[in-house]
Amino acid sequence: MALTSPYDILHAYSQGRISSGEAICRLHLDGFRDLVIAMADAGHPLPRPPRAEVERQVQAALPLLRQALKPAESDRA
Amino acid sequence: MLDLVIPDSGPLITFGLLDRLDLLDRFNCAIVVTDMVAAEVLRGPDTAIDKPVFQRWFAARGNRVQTVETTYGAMWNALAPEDRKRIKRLHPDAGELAIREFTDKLKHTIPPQDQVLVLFEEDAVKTMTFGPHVHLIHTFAFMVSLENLGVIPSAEDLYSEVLAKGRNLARDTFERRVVAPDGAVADRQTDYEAGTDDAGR
Repeated sequence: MALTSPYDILHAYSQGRISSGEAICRLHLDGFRDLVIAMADAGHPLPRPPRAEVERQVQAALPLLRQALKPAESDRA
Repeated sequence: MLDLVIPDSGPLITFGLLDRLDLLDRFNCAIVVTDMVAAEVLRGPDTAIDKPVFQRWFAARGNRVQTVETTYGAMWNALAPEDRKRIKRLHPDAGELAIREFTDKLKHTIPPQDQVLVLFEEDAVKTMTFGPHVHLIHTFAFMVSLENLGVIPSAEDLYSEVLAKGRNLARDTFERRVVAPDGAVADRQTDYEAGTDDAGR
């Protein structure tokens, strides 16, 4: 599918079909922050990995994060 | 020891927009970023809403945030903003090449006994080799981990909040009043009705 309009580009990024770098370049934006703002302004959901990939990443990271987690008393008020 | 490596600016900008960089501080770990990432989040006019958030965070973390200098980053930071925009248009993969240089440096700088968590949003990161004891985790998966650990109530809610913050920033960009060099705040409505076009006066 040709990416001819800002909508096409933001939609493709939202679906994970193009990278943030490509979206920033095609839209002539100044960086990732501007891309998030453009996504928000146009109402596109932010991309996220497939569910299985998220689960795999979480299972691998949880033991490391649990071990490094500071005690709860340092919670943000 | 755990090292939290952030090779692209996505995760920092996401947590910065949320003003929740404190969530990265919940862990006893070093945070390693590239000079390009540091420059991207700290640049911009002082009126940029999230810039003070990053300035405070970098200052408060002291030497627990390690900025790794790269050839690309050094050259990039020496360029004028207009040159950066032009190069970005001509070479959209420049950022990816900088990340590759960063990963090569990491292999030599992080102690082999350390565990490394690479927090990323740029898809190209998934194709890179960071060395042994390295796990990749997308920002959303990191939020799910925070939910599992009881640090935040809901990863879905927090991820959705990014867009809400972005929408506010989009509105702010257009609705913010112009400030003239002498400090006077423009009133476009009054200026329009008065028939002047001297914005900032």
